Amino acid sequence: MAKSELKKFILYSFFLAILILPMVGFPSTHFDAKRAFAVWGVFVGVLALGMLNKVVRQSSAYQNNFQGRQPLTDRVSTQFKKIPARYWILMLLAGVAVYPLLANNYMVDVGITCLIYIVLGLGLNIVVGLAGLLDLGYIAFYAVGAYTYSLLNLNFGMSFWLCLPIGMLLGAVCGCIIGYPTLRMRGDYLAIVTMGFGEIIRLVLNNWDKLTKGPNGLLGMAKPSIMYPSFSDGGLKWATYTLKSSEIFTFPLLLYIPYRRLDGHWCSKAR
Amino acid sequence: MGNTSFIIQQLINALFLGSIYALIALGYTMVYGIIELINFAHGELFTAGAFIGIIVLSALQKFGFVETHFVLTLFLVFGTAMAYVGVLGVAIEHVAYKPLRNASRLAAILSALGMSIFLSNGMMLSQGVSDRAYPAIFGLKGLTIIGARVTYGQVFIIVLSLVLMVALNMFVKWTKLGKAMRATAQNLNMARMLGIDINRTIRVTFVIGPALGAAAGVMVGMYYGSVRFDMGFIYMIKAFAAAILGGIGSIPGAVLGGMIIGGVEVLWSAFLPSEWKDVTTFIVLILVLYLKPSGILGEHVSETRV
Amino acid sequence: MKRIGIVALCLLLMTGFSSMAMAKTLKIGTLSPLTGPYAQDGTDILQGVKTAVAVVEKAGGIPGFDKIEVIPGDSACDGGKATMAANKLINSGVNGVVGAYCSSATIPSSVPLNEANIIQITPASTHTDVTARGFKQIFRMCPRDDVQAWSTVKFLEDGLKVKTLALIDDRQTYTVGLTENITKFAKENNKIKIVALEHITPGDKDFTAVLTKLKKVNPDAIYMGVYQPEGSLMVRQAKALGIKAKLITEDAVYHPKFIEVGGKAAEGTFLTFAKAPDTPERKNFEKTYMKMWNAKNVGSYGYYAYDAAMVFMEAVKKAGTTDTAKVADTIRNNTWNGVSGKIQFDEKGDRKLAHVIWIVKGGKFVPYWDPMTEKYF
Repeated sequence: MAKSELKKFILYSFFLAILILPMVGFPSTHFDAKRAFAVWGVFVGVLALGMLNKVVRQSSAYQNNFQGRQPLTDRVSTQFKKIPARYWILMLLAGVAVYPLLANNYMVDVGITCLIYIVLGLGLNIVVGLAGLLDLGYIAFYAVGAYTYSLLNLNFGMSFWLCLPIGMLLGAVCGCIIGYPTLRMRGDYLAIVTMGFGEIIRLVLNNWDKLTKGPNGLLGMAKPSIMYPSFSDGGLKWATYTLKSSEIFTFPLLLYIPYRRLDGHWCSKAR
Repeated sequence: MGNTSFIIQQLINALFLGSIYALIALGYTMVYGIIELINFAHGELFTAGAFIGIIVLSALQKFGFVETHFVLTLFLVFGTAMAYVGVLGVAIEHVAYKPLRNASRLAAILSALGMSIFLSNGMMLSQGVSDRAYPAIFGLKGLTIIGARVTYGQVFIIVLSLVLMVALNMFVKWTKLGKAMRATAQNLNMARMLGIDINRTIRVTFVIGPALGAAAGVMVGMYYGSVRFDMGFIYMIKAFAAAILGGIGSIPGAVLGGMIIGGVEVLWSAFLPSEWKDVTTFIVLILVLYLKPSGILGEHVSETRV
Repeated sequence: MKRIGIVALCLLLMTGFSSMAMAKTLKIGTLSPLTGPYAQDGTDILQGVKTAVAVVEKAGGIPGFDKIEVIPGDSACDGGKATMAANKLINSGVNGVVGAYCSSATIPSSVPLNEANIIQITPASTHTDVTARGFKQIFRMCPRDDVQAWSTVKFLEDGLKVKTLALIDDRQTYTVGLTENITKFAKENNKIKIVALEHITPGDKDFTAVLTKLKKVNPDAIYMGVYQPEGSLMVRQAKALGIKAKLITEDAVYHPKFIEVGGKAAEGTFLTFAKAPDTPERKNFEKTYMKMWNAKNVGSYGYYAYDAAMVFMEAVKKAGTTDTAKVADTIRNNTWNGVSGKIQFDEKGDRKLAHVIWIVKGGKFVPYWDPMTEKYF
């Protein structure tokens, strides 16, 4: 057992040497042996550890002593599952409510970025995860929403709350435009076509100078605000609340609609 | 510059660009034909080939080898780059794709994307963030055909890529390995039952496809004069589009697709506002796929294989 | 109960972390792309600032402050990330900020910095809007887009005496700003006719289609509003196609790589770049910088960043306070001696400095023509 692993190890190290030494060793015309062998050494070390792990796990001593024992992660998660879901939700809500009051600008910024990624991830999960459509141009819809609000706000002074549904609607319309011709395609064809659509939207936004100001981008749209307290002075902190509240509304929707009703349809299509 | 020579010049430009796209697209199409996986790391394999070419070429130039043995230099540069990238291709297949051969398609595609990011960052760390200059071995000298200029470097590259394409086609059609590859592409399980060594066939595919990409990489580096770690991305998108446009899995299709993409890109910039050229390329791709979902020369593949 | 305790502890730690006790330290923040394609220039900026701080501390520091601290921020040449980094700097209580690099990062990041009333000196952003919004605490070390465009047009009109000009840009903020301003000046003076405006995609390698188009139009000069990677490829392809027009380009191409990649084809290309004075201070700075960072040469923006940090620290010293309004007035009303020449700011915060024209000759950048005096070097 161990002997064949050793043979494999030597073979793999040799291949790693072929692959790593020239690429890492020649950042210029001189051969930088120290650098090349250091990188190679790290790779070989990781390889050795991996193989050692395998050999140990297959050894009889290990199997006699540790076989069948529940891994640590499983044990922790069973402990956590004992707490009812409503406590988790309550704790989450409390954390969400308190966070902007305690956090400084930078932490709020990070929080907002996290929340934006959460929204993006939720959407992507529907397209890729549930429907099984590999959409490589998903981010184009993000641009559609951003430009909708910015343009409407700058040109017509429309408020964030009015633009939010309009942006969502436009995103959905764009989704239909892309979806109609592409959905009859097979998986990988869909990937390249959505990637193409993503590029098209990006290029159109970058090239359409009159409307989008091209690469300079749009500046100076109003921050989202509600009647009181107004966001325009405090800025960031209140923005997290809006994002959070919108997420609190969307979460249950996303949790229930797909899994309960459409799940069957979408997932069957995906297969 | 008259109208005729203008059009001829642009056609030469298109042919040149198209043959490079075609060469890269062949790598996609071969891998896809066999294991139905988009090898996203192909763009990085192409860049790796260009880097190995630069390393070998500058080493040879240091010893003054280029002036004395010009043809041998070219052989060495292309040979080393293709061999290296062939090994890299097999290694990638072994590490990232083989364990996932029976997993879901999405898992394999994500593994390919991850491999692409890994390689691209690896090259960034090892070769630096700024471009590396290729030693100039083709000068600016060239021919003039009816007012259109072609440099000898361009002629060499177009001829070499045509030779590689024809050689590949002959290999796939007439050799035993090529037949095994085609059989595997048609039906992997049936081929296995008939006694074809599937793993070996896949490995050979992962040598040849990336090696062609490497040849394209060296050509790009030699002709344009610089290589950067992230240059594979744009070529990857275009070649990928070319492979799909021609019908993925079909070798003549990849060549045709590459020529179409190169042609659309150059001719659009030649007569219409150039900033919209990429938009047009993708619109052409989408239109073709809408009218013929399996690509121009692609065979109809039943839905069950998706 | 235990879990709640842990959560509470985490929250406490987070808040405690933000309100650390302040020693008597002068804090200078930097904003520059430390990751991404412009990481090289971004690192030059950070190193330039750190060099300035080391030089000042060695000379005895600033009276009233125990030490000077540099807090780096990564702007990544991206508006969102730059704003985040700026907020992070504000929270760590910086007194002044040097940065950012890309105009598209500087403009958004200057909004929170302006709200927090913190001095910002950009070493590299050339967009007109950086100083055109009436902010009182923002300064710029490098010449503005329209100043560079003005030098270019002046050189084309009076130096080269061309009649027709074709423009190429790669549709990024910086290059579009340049071609727009060149078009504006050319129209105003009405001596040069713009015969074509073409665009390329950054990252592309093949520009033959666009160049062939320009060959057909046959202008006297071609202006390449691109960055160095595309610029070096473009000169090669232009020469390969047999284009005879004069090639002129801007400071983003001014980099040794341009000549390395462009090779013989780069010869005779004109560039606009600020002329460096030949002073002992500059030599000293170069020596310190190269020794400190173990570098072969100083990046173009290292000089501006060093000057930016230097001016800020000198102004704090002179004003005897870190009060923003007073320091800003001190910066504005004095003339400073920097390694990039004499530094003077106008009302808006722009530096009074103009580009000169350089030429690539014998594999080197050589100064060629001065648009202010209309004389050859």
